[in-house]
Amino acid sequence: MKRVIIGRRSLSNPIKGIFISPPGVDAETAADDDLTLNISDNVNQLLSLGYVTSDITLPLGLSRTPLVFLTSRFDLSPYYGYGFVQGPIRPSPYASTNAVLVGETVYYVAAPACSTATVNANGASVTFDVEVRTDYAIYRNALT
Amino acid sequence: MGTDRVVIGKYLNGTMGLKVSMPGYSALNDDDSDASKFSFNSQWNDLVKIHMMSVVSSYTPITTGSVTHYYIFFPNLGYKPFVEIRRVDGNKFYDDGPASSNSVGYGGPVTSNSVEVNPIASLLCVVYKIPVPVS
Repeated sequence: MKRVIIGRRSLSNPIKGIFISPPGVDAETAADDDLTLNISDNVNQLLSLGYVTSDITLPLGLSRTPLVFLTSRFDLSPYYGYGFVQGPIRPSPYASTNAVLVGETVYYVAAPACSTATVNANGASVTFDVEVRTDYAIYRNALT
Repeated sequence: MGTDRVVIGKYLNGTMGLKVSMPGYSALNDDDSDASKFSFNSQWNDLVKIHMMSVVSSYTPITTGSVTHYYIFFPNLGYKPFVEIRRVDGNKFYDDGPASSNSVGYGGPVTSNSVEVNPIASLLCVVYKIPVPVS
């Protein structure tokens, strides 16, 4: 059983790339969804993952604008039972000036200040404007 | 001498595989039980797979009665996936908070091939191959 293939997938499969399977799975014959890693197509790559708590500029050293995902840890104290807790809200919170929780729909008492990330000079760096602790994930754009 | 960032073949413990370390860490010598030091290790059982990632600025309107809803469609997964939506304005990316008071977030109900959205100029949409529980 092969768990790491670099090059042609198999004698019967001419697709070339890097294919890695989890323990107990043959990388030659596994379905694509069952592979741990499949680099044979245009893919996104996670370049950086972390969190920021204050305004900061981080170097990226890229020549193209990546995709940046921010997830803020909002103050959940307006919600019954979640006092003194911070975290993401799913679905993304609704904002209202007076409602808190109606049925299964979560309303934010007021729109929380948003953190942002601005990519500078086509990916040379990224500047975070941070309102609350914010997790970030930076992905390289899909190859085109 | 630089740090060994990639190991292909036999690890120090005899295991065969592929490891790539994060900057400042050695793929050969650093403790691979600490996943934060590695960007990849073939010993990991799985990685989250992305079904679609795109910046979208054109939405599909569907009108029911007098109300129009807007959707982003993606190839049908056969299950309701976990979806993330963010506002994008040029080279500026926003977190997942609502736009203002008395407004909604950017993402709405998800089906196996669509997500309803708040149709602002541009949205970053990621569909993960992660089924979410359906009540």
